[in-house]
Amino acid sequence: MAFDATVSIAVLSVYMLVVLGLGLAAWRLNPPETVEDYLLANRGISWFVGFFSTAASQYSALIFLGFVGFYFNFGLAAFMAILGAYVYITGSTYYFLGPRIWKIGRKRGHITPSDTVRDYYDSPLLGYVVAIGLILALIPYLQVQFTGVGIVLSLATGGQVPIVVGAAIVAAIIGVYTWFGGMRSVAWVDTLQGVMLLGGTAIGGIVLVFVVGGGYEAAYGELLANYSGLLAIPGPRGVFTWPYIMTFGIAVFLGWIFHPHMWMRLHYFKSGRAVENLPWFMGLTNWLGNLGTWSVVLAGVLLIPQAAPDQFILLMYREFFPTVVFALIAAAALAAMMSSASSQCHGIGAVVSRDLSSKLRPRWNDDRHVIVARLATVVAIVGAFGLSTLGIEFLLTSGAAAAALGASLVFPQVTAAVYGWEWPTTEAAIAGSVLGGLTTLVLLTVPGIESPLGLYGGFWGVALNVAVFVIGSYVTDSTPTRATTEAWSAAVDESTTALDREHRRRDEFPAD
Amino acid sequence: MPFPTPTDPVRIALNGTLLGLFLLYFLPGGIYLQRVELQVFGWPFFALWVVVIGPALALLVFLVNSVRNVRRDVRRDAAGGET
Repeated sequence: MAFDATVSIAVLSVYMLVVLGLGLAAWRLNPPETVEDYLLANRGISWFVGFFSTAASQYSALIFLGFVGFYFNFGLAAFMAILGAYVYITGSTYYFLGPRIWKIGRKRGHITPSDTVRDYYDSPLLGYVVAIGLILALIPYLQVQFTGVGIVLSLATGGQVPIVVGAAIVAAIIGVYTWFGGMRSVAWVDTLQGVMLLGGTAIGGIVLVFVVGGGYEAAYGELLANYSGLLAIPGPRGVFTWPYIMTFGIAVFLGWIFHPHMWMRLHYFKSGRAVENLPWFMGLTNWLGNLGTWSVVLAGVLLIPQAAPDQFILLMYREFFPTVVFALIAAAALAAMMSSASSQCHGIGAVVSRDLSSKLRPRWNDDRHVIVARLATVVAIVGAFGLSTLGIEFLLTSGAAAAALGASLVFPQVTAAVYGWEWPTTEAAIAGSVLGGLTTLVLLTVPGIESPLGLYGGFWGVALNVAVFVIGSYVTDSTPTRATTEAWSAAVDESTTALDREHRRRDEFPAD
Repeated sequence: MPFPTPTDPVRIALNGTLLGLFLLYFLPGGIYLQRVELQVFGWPFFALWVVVIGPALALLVFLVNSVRNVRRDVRRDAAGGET
């Protein structure tokens, strides 16, 4: 069908204005008054907004662009390593850790992962190590979103909006509503974007297979005839062997909840019951999204196998559907990227404010720490936009590496803390975090260094952290005090319903 | 005890089911399941397993756990915090 750039630009402009308006409306209706309000919306986010904000923050440029390319190049093996691992491994982190993290955070006022480890291990140094490491992890992941935004806007406007200009426009919009409204604005906009991106990727992908692809049977017939390597392990390029699938999955998908912006979404719910339901909700939404993504691969293999797979969905909608429908899909793709970008920037702002300025300048009042959070958010946006202009070949790598770095820094430390284990020591926690994080950084970013045994590099970082943490705890002495372990265990044993009621009373009768 | 284990039999069963499904989906189950040559609803069996069935079973475990946890917590709170 003929593509009309004017119509597409009009649809996308309306979308951008709605996003900006919604973000500013959230600010005007309830301006943040304290640091906790700016960072966590006063722990008062409803289940509906919270679920879709969590989903939108998780699903990014990867689900519309990066994963399509990944599945096209590496097949079912990659799907198993991505979606399978997300459902089973990240799902398990929500299942085993989520409710505990929420309860402890509610009782002890935690906001970031650094809060948790600093508190349990009584170690400001560990808090700084984790904070700086998590910021480093987020930056390349954030850059990926702006790269994707530029690509989508250029494609969706027929090249009339250059990549850099498109990324700059989006960066400005995100910067404005995040600056003013903090978490509340980000979460409200995320809710709209979450509905759009899930609809766009799940429905958009499945529709492609049926409307223009001839259905799943025809698509799989083509795959079996000409691309059978995509349906077997280790896939056509031989990369995703069983050991690589396992180690990639473990390292990357243990790490997602430790990203500051995802961790904060464990704490922002008004009710702990919502956190109890995160394992299946996040798994279900990711599954639907990736079912759509896989369907895009099937349709692309049938219809445009020579095109850049990262752009399959946009190219096919531009080719086979009316411009308005194509523009809505493009808007959904932008929604995926913008929601992640705003959450990640806000997360960086939270870490800088909560973990660095609040600790280095404890006498500053809330207003100053909110300013620090806002400035850090803007610096993150500008920095990531700048990095995106350098270009990136493969969208996926940075996101996976970021998550693996998170797991390498804190997975065993947080697990031990929320289970109230008495044996871990502060020294072992610090050593494990530093050595694990450095190992992952070196193996995943330094050119020319091969990961041993053909396993995913981030896995070695996680494994080293666990080994140093456990062995180091047996040869050092500074375990958490009995008062700490008992207080944490008591927090976990409290009723979620009672904690919800206590929080509601705090809101009804605020302290003078 | 360095690694306390749950005592609730239903939770133990759910954890065990999740672990069993993990082993079936990834290693060692995946190695054998990819050899199944069958077409189901137009999908090769292994593709249907990896893309649809395997993830759906894990989600079911999570859903059962979530519903049960919320109901138990409400009952416990109504009973004054006693289990």
